[in-house]
Amino acid sequence: MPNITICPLCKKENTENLSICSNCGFDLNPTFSPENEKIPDWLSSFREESENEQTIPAQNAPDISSTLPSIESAPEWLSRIRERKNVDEEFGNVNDQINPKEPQRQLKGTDELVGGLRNNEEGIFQEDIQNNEIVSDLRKFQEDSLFEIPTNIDSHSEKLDQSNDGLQEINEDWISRLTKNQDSENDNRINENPEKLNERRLPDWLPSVNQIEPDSNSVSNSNSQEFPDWMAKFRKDQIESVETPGGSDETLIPDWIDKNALPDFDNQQDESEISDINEIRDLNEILEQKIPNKTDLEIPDWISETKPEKSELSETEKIISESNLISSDNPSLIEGDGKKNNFNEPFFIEDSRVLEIDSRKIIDEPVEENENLQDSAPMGVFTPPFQIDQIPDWLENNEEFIPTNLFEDTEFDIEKNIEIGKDLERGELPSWLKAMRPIEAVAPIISRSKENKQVENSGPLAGLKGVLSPHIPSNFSTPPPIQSTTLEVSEKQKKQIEILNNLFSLEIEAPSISKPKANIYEKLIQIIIPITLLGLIIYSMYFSSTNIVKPSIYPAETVRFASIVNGLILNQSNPPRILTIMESDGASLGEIKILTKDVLERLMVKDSFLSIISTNPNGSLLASGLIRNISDDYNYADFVTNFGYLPGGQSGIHSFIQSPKETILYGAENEIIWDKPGLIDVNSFSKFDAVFIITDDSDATKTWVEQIHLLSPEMTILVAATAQAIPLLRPYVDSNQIDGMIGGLYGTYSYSDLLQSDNKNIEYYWKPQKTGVLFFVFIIILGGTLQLVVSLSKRIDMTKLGSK
Amino acid sequence: MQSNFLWATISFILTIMILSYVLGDNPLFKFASYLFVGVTTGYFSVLLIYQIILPKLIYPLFGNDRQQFIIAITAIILCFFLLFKLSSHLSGLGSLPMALLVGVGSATVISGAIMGTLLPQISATSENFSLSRNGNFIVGVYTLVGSIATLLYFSYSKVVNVKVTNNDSKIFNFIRNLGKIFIGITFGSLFAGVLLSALFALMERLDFIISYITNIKNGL
Repeated sequence: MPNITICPLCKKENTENLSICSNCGFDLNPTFSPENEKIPDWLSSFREESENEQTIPAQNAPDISSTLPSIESAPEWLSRIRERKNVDEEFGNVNDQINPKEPQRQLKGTDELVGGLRNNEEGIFQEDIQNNEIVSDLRKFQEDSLFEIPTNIDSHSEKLDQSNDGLQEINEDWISRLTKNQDSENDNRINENPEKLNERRLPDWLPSVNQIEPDSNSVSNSNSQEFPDWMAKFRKDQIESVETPGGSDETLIPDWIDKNALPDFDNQQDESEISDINEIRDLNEILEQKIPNKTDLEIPDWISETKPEKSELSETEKIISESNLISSDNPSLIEGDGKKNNFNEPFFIEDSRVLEIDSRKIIDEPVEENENLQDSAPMGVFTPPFQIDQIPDWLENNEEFIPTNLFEDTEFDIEKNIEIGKDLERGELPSWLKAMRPIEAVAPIISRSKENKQVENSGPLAGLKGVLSPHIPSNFSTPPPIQSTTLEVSEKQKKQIEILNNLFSLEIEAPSISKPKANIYEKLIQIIIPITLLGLIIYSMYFSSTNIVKPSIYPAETVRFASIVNGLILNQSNPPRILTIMESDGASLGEIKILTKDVLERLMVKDSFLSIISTNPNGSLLASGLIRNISDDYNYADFVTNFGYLPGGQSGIHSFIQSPKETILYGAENEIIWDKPGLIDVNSFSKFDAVFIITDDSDATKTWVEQIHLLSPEMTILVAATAQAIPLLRPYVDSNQIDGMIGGLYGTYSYSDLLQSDNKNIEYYWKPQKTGVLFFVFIIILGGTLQLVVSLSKRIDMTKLGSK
Repeated sequence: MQSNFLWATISFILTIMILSYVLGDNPLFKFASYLFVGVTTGYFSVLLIYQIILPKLIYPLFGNDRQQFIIAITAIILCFFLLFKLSSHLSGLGSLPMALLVGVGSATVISGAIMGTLLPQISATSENFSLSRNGNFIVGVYTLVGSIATLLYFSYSKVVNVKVTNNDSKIFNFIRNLGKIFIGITFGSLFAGVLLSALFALMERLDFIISYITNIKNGL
């Protein structure tokens, strides 16, 4: 019956010889997958390797491979364990055929072997951390993962060859002695080379099976070539012990077989490892018991099928040997017959040597190495020393051990090859794969170089290396952009700027301080007018013989003033207390003397009490001098009280009117004034009989009048004002706020005429004043006339110009 | 006698120096002017110490009058606060006495102006229109028109949203010009009064000079 193939597309049955589905035309044996085009070469090569790795055990043990998941998706260490498991199962199959009652025991021993392998790996890993050989060890693992497959293949092929050739020639005697001497030999081996046993992570007992198969002679001959010298001594002892007739059966078992058959020991006291040893021991006992009967068993199919596949394995070996060209110094595990293999030296020495070479190549000359690798790799097959995705996460961040330029260099080589045209164009990495790349593969190389790392010398990070960025921040700072200072100015704006500059230049130039040259006429006028005035005054005072025209009409306020003064003098039983307020400066002293002379003389005749006060600092002093110089018979000390200066302006006046005793405590000479005779009964402002204001300051007089009218309206106010104060005091006279006033020379002359007193002094100033007034009137009229003429002439000229 | 002659000589010299201004500004005039200003300032400062600070601030502290003592203490505290006006940061403390002075002064001025000037002047002006008091109606009209025209002259504000016609503007301008005349007459009378006072001072100084020269000529 021909084999039936089910179409994966239409699920129809087809014969095996059909390459195309008879129903839907689907290619049942696809030789080309469009997905391969999209996959990069390095990935395809990796896949080919994986497929090779998968096909080899599949050819040897198809049942096992079918039950396992895809090797592509499994990590390397898992594939390695699978390979181990495959071999175990193969061996189990053999045992099953030999003793079908012991399958579970065999599987159990395999699992424990894997567990022991992991324990050994962890122990070695910790030791390597202490020795700072983490990377070397990891690479060893990776290379083991790469080379164990051919090693296993090699061992399988050799085992199968030897099993086919000399399976029947197995010496039953030494095998039987093997089990007998196993315990003692194991103990001896452990004691002799415990380190080798501990460091031996891979159970290399499988190759030892190959060594078991030939006879002692062939073994002795072949082992002389296959084993190194350091093992040859043990080997000789083994052979001698086997060849010695007097020796026991236990001594005939070679030690190297037991050594290779034993699993790794990290610690003899470890119970799990002891259990592994016991399991192996049991396994050897089983072998010892069953191998003599092996000749009677049928050879399994998969073993028989290995012979014709030997040629295929040789091709695979070529591929793997080509891939092993990554390290030329690395001795190949399979190099043909009679050549040096990995058993010439201890495996850890070879591993350390290979890893040193690899690390030197990867770190120092990664680009050249990759180029050589690509050139040397046939058909685009490139096998990196280790894969990025196989590096643990904690090691990816270590920049010293990661060839981060791996992808970059390959990309660079791809571009280089594209440019040169020597190689086919390689496909780009898929976006998802690029996204998975480590940052170090994308970041600049200089940032990952070892030289850029700096050791912190101070601060909390002292002693740490590469913690902070070694780049100087100033190297990253960019200078500020230079802005253009030129402005776009139009022609119109330029003209406006010129106008503005001209205006400012005119103002900046300091004006000439020199006085304008006066006109000669102006100088003459400035001199002639005063001289003329002086001449007229002097002439009228001393040389004029004209009669004086006396005032015919007396002012009403002067008449009231005279009547009030007469009433104060005549009607009062006691001498009147007159508050004399002096609001005048020294410039008016001449006029005030004439004004107040007749009044004060009249008051002094009746020994009136005069109290002097002033809001002008000079007032009290002028009043004191004025009173002192009027009459020598008047007792100034007894009847005159000088309050002095009254500060505060209107507030002071208001306070004094409200409470004179509390406002002024001491007199002008800092004496107590309120005990004087003129002020004994004066407790308030109203106790004064009259207020006599001598003033040339109309404002001060107005303030006094206002406050007196406000606080003490019954008070009699008499004012002797100079000519300049009369106009502003006139309204208060008209409103009767000022009871009586003599103002100017005209009022003085009227008052003197009313009193019929001696007025020669007044007449002395009366004529020159008249002359002076006339002169001023003349000057004012003359000036007004000239101004009018000038303005009229200008207007006429303007009209003439306008008419023309 | 000799002292009078000495002071008379000094007065004569200073008077001549002041009158030298007839010939223009000169150092003699400046010297005499500065001398008067300096003497007046010195006298005023001494007067403040002896007539204000000592009798009104210091002496009450050592007297028996408790009321004067409290007033003096209050005045000293206010003066102390007034010194903070010198500091830009602490000038706020000096505002207290300043506020007191300005407030009291303003109240005094306003009350005095209203009760002592404004109301009495209005009353006096209105009396001219009173028949019972035999008022002078013409004077009353003159005073009323003069007051209104003068007040309108100083009106610089403008009524918003009121259209001023040409006739209204002419009447307003006429009144303002009339007020300008009244103001001119007022300033003319003031100038005449100042001129008369200055003329009297000149006559008095000329009399002094002539008397001094006459006395010198007559051998004192």
